[in-house]
Amino acid sequence: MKLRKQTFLLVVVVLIGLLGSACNRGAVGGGEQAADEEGPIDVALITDSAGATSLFGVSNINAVKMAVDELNADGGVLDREVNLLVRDSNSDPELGVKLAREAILEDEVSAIFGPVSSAVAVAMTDVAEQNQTPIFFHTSNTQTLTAENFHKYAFQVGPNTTMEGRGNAIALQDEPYKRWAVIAPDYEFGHLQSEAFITKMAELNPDAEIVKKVYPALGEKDFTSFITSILAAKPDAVYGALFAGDLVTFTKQAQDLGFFDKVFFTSLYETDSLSALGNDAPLGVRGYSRAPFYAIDTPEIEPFIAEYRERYDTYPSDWAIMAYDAVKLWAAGVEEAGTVEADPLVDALEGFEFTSLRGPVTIREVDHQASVPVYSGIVTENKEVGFPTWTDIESIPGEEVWLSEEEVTQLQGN
Amino acid sequence: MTLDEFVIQLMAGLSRAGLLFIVSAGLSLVFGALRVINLAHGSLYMLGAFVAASVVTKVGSAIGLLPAVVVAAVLVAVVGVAIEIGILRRLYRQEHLLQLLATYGVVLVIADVVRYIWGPTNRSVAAPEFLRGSIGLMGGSFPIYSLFIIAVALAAGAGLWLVVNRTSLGRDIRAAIVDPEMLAGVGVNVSRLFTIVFALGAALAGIAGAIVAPSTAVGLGMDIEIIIEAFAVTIIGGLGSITGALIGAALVGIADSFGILLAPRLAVAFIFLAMAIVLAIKPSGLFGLPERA
Amino acid sequence: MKALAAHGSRLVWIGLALVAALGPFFLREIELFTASRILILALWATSLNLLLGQTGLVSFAHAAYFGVGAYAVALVWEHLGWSPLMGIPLSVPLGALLAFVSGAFALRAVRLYFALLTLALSQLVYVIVFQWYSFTRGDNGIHGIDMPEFLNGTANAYWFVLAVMVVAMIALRVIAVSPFGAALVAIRENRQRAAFLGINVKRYELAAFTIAGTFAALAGALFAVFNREAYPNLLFWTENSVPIFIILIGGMFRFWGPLIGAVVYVLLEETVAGQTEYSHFILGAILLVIVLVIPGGIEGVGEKVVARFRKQPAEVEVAA
Repeated sequence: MKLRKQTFLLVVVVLIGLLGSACNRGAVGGGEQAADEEGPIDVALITDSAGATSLFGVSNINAVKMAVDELNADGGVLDREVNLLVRDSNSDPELGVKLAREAILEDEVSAIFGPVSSAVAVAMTDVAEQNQTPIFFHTSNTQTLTAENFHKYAFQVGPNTTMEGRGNAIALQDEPYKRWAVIAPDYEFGHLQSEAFITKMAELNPDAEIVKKVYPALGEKDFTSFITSILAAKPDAVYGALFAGDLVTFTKQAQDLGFFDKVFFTSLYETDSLSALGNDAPLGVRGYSRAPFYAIDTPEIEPFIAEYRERYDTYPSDWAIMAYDAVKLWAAGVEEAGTVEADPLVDALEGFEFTSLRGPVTIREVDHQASVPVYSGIVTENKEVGFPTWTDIESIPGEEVWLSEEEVTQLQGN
Repeated sequence: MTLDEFVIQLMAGLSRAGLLFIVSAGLSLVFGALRVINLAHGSLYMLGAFVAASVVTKVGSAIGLLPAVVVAAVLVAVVGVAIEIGILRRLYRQEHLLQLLATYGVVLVIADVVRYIWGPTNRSVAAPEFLRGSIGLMGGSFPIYSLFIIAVALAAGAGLWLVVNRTSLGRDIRAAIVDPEMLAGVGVNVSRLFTIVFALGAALAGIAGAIVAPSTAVGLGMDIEIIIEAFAVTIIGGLGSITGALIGAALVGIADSFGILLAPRLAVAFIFLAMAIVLAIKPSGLFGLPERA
Repeated sequence: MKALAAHGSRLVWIGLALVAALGPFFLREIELFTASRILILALWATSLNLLLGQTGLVSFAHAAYFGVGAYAVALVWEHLGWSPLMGIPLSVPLGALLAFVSGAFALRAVRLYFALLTLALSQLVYVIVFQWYSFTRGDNGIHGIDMPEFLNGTANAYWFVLAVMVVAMIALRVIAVSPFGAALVAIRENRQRAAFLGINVKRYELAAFTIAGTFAALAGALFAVFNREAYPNLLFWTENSVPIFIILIGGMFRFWGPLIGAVVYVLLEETVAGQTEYSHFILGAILLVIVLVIPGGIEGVGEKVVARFRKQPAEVEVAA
């Protein structure tokens, strides 16, 4: 019996020791309040740089670092240095939540720049809301971030899923195809974005019918059965919401099946995927995306591309451009508000007119969505940059495709 | 569904089945002899794919696949030997749970080692020229590479059958599946036999990883994806049975392929449902060994 | 003497609960998240240990029951517009029912095949949760559940979790030391002999499986209340490694082993694993070391150390 008591005592000592050490750390972290007024401003980029979308995350990190360095070289924000924390949420919502919470409660960041994965984004936006911390989304674009799960501290500088799907329908409305098939990854982005396309297409072109819809898992490795089942439905055209690693895998397997010779195809062929595919890229398919550097014609983009290439020896992808815009939007908002505090910043940003790399945009009051365009074009060889890019580029302004304010309020109010 | 669609979908399912068979046969063989469920089998498969990606990048795609398969098989077998000798051998007398947990520890370790060596980004591997493209099949077209996977699976199955049924090693393996203690009694070095069987299973996983590499994106997470399907195959077919692995792989591969066509959202659920039903009716799987007392 | 010792150890645990209750006065907010994670994982692992350590059953369905409990909270809020707290009393019968049905099914097999059957069933539940987009919101999960006023503030939520957890732990403890618990130990030690002694083995195993699943669902419900979210990954089969790992760290033949295991596991996660990109490697290596070197868990080690110190053999205790 003494033995048992000994063990319990051991346990108690260990536990109390642990609590004590926690207590100690608590005391050290004590007097931090002054940091709000002076000293460096902490901000965090929490993104996903592993797995199928790792390239997107790497682009995010590169561009955000560059944007912060530029701000600091210009004397900082409100004459204070900006200190960037970079965290990897590894496409894991649970980890994303934990990192966001740590950044807010421990590092007391003034703002968070969001992840690649929309599942992580949806989980993280809730932490930002609970702790009243501004969060800027740029790569994850599910509509729920600005609609169902919207809160006043959330901002979106990329086109959301509805804008993307509708924009693609508008861009494709005059194509002669009647029988459409849809292939989209089986998660929120894939469903919302492809449904937005389907709905808009039905409205613009009543003759178009959807003959097949397939939803492979995100990260699917073998698309053969999906491709054969699409072809079996004899469509004229296939709308894809595939992207990144999945799109690269799909494209290679589809090429083996002669898919691109049989049907018209469009999907998210952006800079990273096209450079990953290189010579395997299917020339002549239609790509769409959110910010291809060669499709943008603004005074701001040229020096940006030059400096990005200087620093990283590569062209900036869409995910670099939008993440950069997110940082610059935050900085402009803080300068406008005269403080990094959340509520005045939000007030300053509502209805704010901002010069992004993609040109002047406004932040709509109702859902904090930036009025950014969506782009599409035909994938063509490009010797100059060393990987395929687009020709016949079309861009649809954000104001033409975003949800009406009534639609937004209805979704937000559920 | 017309006949040609049916045939194409069936072939796509068989190609998937071929890959699953190579993976599951190794898993099943190891279970049969060692009575260990190796959760790290998928990790060995992933390792094979990454090794193959590196070899093809070095050697070039024209002939790169052949050395890639060989190097992957050998290297993964060596890793397998290290796992068997370093970890599993110490645990044969312990609870099943401890063995399972040890192999799960290996899953975690290998995942991060692969991430450390090859980085987090996906890799893509080019197939040799003559395996690209497709051939006409019943009016549709079918990728040559998928036929190649089926061929490799058939070859692996035949080779395995020869080893198990026509060699003295195979005789020992069959005896070990029935009763290892008796085998020790007649003077066979059981612990060496176990190492060889584990190496063989690992080599099969490595080969599967290497041949799948050109048809897919090689990336982290391949380990968990394949292991759960390989489990389904092995459980349906019966642990420890190569025939079972063949039948199980065919069932799962074809169910997958037609499931996508008929009820895409439920395709994954079908597999687990089938698994639960088979186990409930025949708890040791279709061709499985009963639980050893 | 025995009663006195039991009394003494009870006092120790009451003391510990009081220290835990004072947590919000000396822990920072972020540390309260860590502390509540310890509480919830401890309850979850202790419920699993009723199967693993006490009955000798290896189940891979425990994450599914945990997840179902979390979804009970999320879904009554999402679909019925009820207070999410209603999900807690709902999670209990739901977890019991699910565990009973799947247990009755899985217990047709024994040992390894039983374990694999639980794996198949739990993946089935996972796939349903993952795919049933209109009901569960698919892979996104449900986030930002609105809690009643009195749970706003991390400290309040922590106290709530602590209170429910303490009650649940007492209930589990009562079950573990009851005659029923003793029968489970007899089954673990020798099924044939237990059957010979007149114990209906399958029925007892099913009862243990159901009880364990019920408390796992309760732990899941607490998770959803504290974290205000539920998502499908909670049910994925690899998640089962967490409570098993915890039990292994703490020692499976002691009732309180999983509690100690949970403290050590979460602190490991926060300290060692949090410092590196390669946290899986570290956790995997630790797992291997425990399995190979100290399969008795940390409490077992503590006991051996004490025993060596006193120069007497470690006492092997079966049913806490």
